[in-house]
Amino acid sequence: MEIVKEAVAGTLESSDCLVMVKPYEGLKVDIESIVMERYGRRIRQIVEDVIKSMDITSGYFKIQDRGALDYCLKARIRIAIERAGVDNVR
Amino acid sequence: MRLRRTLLYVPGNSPSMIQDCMIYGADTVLLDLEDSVAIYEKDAARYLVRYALQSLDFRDTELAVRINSMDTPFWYDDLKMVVPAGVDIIRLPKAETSEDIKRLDEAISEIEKNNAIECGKVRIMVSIESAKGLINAYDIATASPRMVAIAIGGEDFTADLRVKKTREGRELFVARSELVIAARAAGIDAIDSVFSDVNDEEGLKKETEMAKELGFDGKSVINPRQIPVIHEVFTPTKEEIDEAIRINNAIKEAEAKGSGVISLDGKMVDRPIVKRAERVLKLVELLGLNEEERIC
Repeated sequence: MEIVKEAVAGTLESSDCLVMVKPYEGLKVDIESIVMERYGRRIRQIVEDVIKSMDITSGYFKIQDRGALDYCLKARIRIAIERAGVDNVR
Repeated sequence: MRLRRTLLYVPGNSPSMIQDCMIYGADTVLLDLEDSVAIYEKDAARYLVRYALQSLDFRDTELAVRINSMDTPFWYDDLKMVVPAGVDIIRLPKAETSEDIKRLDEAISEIEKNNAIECGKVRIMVSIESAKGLINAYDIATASPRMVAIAIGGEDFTADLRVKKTREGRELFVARSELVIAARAAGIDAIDSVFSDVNDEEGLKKETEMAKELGFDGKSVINPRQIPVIHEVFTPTKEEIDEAIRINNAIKEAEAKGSGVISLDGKMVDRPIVKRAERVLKLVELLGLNEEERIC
């Protein structure tokens, strides 16, 4: 499935993250995090897992992380995708 | 019997508050999908609460989720998200009739069945926030075997009465008393309304003492700072524990003698006094207090 419109979820408050998604040819993920050095790979893995679980094949994902835990990253990415018009709840 | 001295409200769309809520020692945390979540963030809060329930360690804190009221289009989606995620209690706001509770019970049963959850595992707590709800309080309290507690929402209730909520709370006296009576008749807990001035510790203590005197089992809390004050009020005093132990010893003595009459200090101990002592000792046990240490 493709991201068909722009959407955002989350906030820039501490322990949260702001996720922005928009249409794109192919898949692209940009991550900006206050803990990039230590958790950058982990965050990327979570983003990719959620994208895969929702069968997203194209779209641009920008994650601005403020120290969000895994559960929060998952929730914000998922809802950003749903708000972008993809509905594939599992 | 379970301790429900404090029920801490936690906004359901705030990750920092959700992940810290278990450290304050509240007996129950109430992850809120209702008033603290903006209407356009309901979808986001549902996922956040769902994933938090599934992955965070809330230790042995009782976990409740306040869903949106049944006159909104949100309540069923809230349920579908949180019931399979391991919530202990669904808190329904603005309960007005026993039919509300029956509908809620049926919806939970269906979700439990579809998710292979033991039927009846998820319990219900409601808040009464209108005159109509109070009139129907006993019917509401007995409408489902899932019911564990009934609370009063003071701000909404006084607004419905067309009066102002005051620090003294005279306007809520009758409602509080009736709510406790309904809860006792139904054999469930009664939870008092929040005390909204977080800077007025003396006022909080007074209101909590009054709630305890009326028979409430606990109080809703909007700020973790309020928790120790409320816990102190709902913890039996040294004198109460001492008295309960003496009564308990008198019961044992009477039993050993094969006597049906319990006496203490030359006076007969009536059944209601025994019941009260039993409750104090149960609280001591639940609180993990050492009886010997408390009376020495």
